[in-house]
Amino acid sequence: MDKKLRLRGGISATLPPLLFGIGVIAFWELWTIITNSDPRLFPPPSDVANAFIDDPSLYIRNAKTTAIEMVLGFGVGAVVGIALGLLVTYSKPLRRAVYPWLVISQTIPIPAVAAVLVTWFGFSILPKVIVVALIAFFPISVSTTDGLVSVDSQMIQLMRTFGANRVQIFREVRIPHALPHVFTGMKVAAAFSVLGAVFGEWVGARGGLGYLLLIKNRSVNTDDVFAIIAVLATLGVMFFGLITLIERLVIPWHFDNRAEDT
Amino acid sequence: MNFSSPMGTAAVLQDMNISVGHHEFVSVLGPSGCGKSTLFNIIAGLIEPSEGKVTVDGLSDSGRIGQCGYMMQRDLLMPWKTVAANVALGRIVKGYPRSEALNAARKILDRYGLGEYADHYPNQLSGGMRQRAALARTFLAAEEILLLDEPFGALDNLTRLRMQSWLLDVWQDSEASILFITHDVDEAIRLSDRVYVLTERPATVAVTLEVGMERPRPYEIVLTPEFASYKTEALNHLHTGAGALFGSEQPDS
Ligand SMILES: Nc1ncnc2c1ncn2[C@@H]1O[C@H](COP(=O)(O)OP(=O)(O)OP(=O)(O)O)[C@@H](O)[C@H]1O
Ligand SMILES: [Mg+2]
Repeated sequence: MDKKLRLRGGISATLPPLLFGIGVIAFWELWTIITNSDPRLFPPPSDVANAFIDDPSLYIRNAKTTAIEMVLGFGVGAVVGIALGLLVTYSKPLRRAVYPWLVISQTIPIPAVAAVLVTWFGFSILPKVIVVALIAFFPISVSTTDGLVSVDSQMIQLMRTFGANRVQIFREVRIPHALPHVFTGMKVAAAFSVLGAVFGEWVGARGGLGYLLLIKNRSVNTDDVFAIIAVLATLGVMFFGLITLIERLVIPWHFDNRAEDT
Repeated sequence: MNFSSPMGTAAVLQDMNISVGHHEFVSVLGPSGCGKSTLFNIIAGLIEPSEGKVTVDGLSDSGRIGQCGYMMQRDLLMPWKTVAANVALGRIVKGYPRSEALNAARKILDRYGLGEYADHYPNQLSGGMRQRAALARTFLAAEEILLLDEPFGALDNLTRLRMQSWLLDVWQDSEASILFITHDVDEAIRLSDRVYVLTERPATVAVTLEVGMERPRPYEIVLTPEFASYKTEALNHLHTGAGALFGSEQPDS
């Protein structure tokens, strides 16, 4: 019974944004025709599509490079973010010592950090992974901490009446309660990891969409630049979708409950 | 029992002397905020009294935690666990193998008429079903001593009457001793062997009613003169002191 409902939910959720996107592209195409604008400044969508179709392997090859940087950086960021969330929740002295630095770390301009990383590690993948991780860990650590501390204290009391120890309370109550929060942080991080990878490539790379973007922009291949932007956006949406899919598999109860509410 | 905070010290419970014997059903009846839940938290071992002593099965102090099945005022079903997993939780924590605990949970859910909901999540249950699931969890966690804090407080009247009959059946089939909190005078008298009527804060026992009426006790028992005499006595004590301010004697304007 639920399957049908969810399927219908899926269609009604994807149709409006799809129509909106098609509308914008159609308007854009018309606009360039009506105003007879210079395609080097403002290429019509058909030119952009042609740019991609001319040499899809160029985009796909570089997208792969960027995707690997994103996924690796995100992975490192997630591990560090969750670990920090746990530490900050469970150790008061650590919380006092570390928390302000977490916030300060986010005020540092990422391109500046990326530049330093390139002088340290060269054009390898490492600086990109670090930049993505630097961007990704923060929302994850904040949301993990949030999730761990916002547990219903009466649920913990209930566990204590069973004679539960700290480990059992952690496993049965704190972790499952925190998971939806952790996933929220991971979705934010996934969306931002595109940005991190592009920044990382801009300061020094031999491949990747960010690198390609610089080259095409320098030679004023505006249609190619737009094609790259489209591929980058697709990459970000796919990564976000992947995390959402994993979320649905790991915490199905969270969605069953929400469906019940509406 | 006193609660101390930077704002000062509040006396909540005073000179409480309450006992529950084997397979007895005992109710605690008292005005809102008088300290009934606090009393249960103390008995369950969640907090220690500032003075006095609680003994559960010969165990006092920290030894008593984990001895009582405690159903708190809120059902506290965990949204991330299926109904069966929620009900099995007490046993799992106490070290039973997971599959064995889950089997026991399914069995008890069948008996409580929730068999087909075993694999649902709690948010898919109605209020009455949630209470039954929470009771099932409490029974499974500790079969001997049960502390039930207003288990039917949030239910409509009809469901509440049905749940009372059902609880009596469940209790009579078991060996359990039950300590039951309620605001509802009828509920306390219908269910119990003994009712402790508490005063306003700081709560002490105003009167102890030994309810000698025969079991089983159907709904209609509330209409008998014997029931009425118990009820009168309970109400008399509930409406003395500060409680009278909010009692029915207050003239309507
Ligand atoms: N941890 C605490 N610290 C300070 N005061 C508390 C604490 N717990 C309860 N109290 C106070 O003790 C009093 C009794 O609370 P309790 O929850 O035991 O009342 P109750 O009789 O169960 O009320 P109700 O019938 O509304 O559930 C209240 O005035 C409450 O504010
Ligand atoms: Mg209470």
